[in-house]
Amino acid sequence: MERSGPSAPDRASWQATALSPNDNVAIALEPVVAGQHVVVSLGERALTITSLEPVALGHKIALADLRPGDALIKYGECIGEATASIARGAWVHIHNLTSRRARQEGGATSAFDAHAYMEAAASTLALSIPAASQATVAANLGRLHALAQEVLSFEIPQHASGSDRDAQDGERQ
Amino acid sequence: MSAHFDGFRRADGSVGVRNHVLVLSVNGLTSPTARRIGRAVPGARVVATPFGSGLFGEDAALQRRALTGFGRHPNVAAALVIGGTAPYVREIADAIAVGGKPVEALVLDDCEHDAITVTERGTRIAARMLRDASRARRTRVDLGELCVGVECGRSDPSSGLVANPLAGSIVDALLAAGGRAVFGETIEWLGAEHLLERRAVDPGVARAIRNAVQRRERASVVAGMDLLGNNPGPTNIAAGLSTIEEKSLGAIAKGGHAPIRGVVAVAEPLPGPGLYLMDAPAYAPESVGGLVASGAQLVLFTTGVGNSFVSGIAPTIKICANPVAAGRLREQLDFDASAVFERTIPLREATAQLQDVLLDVASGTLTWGEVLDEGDDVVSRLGPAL
Repeated sequence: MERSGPSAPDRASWQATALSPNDNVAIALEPVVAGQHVVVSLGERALTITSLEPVALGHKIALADLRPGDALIKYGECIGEATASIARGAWVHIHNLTSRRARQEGGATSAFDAHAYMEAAASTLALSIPAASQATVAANLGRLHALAQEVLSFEIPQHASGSDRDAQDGERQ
Repeated sequence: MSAHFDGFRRADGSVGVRNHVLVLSVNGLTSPTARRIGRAVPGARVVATPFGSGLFGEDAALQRRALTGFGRHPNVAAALVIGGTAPYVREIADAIAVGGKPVEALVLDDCEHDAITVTERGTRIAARMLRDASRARRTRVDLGELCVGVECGRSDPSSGLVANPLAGSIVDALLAAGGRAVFGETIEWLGAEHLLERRAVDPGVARAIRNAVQRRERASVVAGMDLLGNNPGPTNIAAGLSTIEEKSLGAIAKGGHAPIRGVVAVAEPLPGPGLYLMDAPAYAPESVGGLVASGAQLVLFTTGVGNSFVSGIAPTIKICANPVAAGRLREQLDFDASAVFERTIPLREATAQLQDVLLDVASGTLTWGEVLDEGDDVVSRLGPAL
């Protein structure tokens, strides 16, 4: 393997780094133990924080106290929001941080919705086939519904709206 | 640092960094035969699709485009195209031969539907092609003749911090020399698309970027899928990546800083010099397959915890800045950037070293993936088949 460095000079004196001055999390460049004074490089300047818990190499440590809903900033950009109160020095990961994107309507991830998925697939495919074939797509979609019912052994409402399906799910639970 | 490498100038003016003979099976029926020919002629590379006549719409177009792209690839000196029926096999063989490349076609229908006959004829053709190809010699060419695909796989926080910015610096240098670069993995623009849109050369390109991200985001929502656990996947999460936004913001650094000239479809040839985005799946085999089919002669592939996947057609340079992975994967990683992560050398010093490695590999030095024959080249599937 090509080594990217000659004999190493003195290792720099910081253990974590943040890439933008606005960041409220830093990346641990080496494993951090609880109660450690961690020097964080912010490019031009550095700050020292006390870790509240162990933080593995590459994982994130909070640089500020955060409340639920607060944006987490890394690279100067939003990487998601806090789902709990996060104290300065705490480990930040999926237990207290969640994405703001690709969220399921209504919050939690729903079960795979074969009906919605096939409709989306059919509409996507319809974009790339001639108009004359639209009827064929519609016919095939009907057959896919039938097949799904047979194979998966459950009813797929043909034209149910989202709220109808939610109501039915509620009844089943 | 030298800004030249030694490559194979092709009849159509393009430059190969390898001199492969390709056995290309364009139908699933003939793919086992293609692999058998590959075993009989060990110097030949095999690309074989499992699919066939049931494809329609965008899937059919993508298969044609990608299989043709593999055949036309500058790293391919000559191609043997095999398949089930004449019109499709001839169409792809003719498209590959347009620039003057030696191409031969074998059709199951013309061989009494006998795989052994195809094997016998194909073995003789591939053997002759390989001997003829070996007469080609490398000549000195400019760095700017390169088209590089950029990929990240099994990323971790060291990817976004070091390995991707390092690959991005190489892309910047390559584009400044007049070259081409492309990266895909659309779902890993999600959360960073505003930064990519700002770099678009015109509003149409910015809109194409936004639309591409929205389509993937909508697909994941409609499929009832939580991206957490899928992308970022369990390996990414264990290593410290938490959300798709965090992963994306690190991932786009591999594309450097240049203006984005357009968004191409999977396996679509790049229209000209400069940086392009490919609207494509993120999973490495599909993503790399699309980049290579579009004409990338080399792939810069960054990883955090390690990823062994490489293209068989385009040498794939593995770059890693995670000190633990770099210590472990000595026969997988072609460039160890962990000294940057460990703060012992600056990024610009590693950039100069990586450019030397790139030119060295372009001139013929084998990557670990080539030494270990890890290469594979596949085409994505999009929807149902008839």
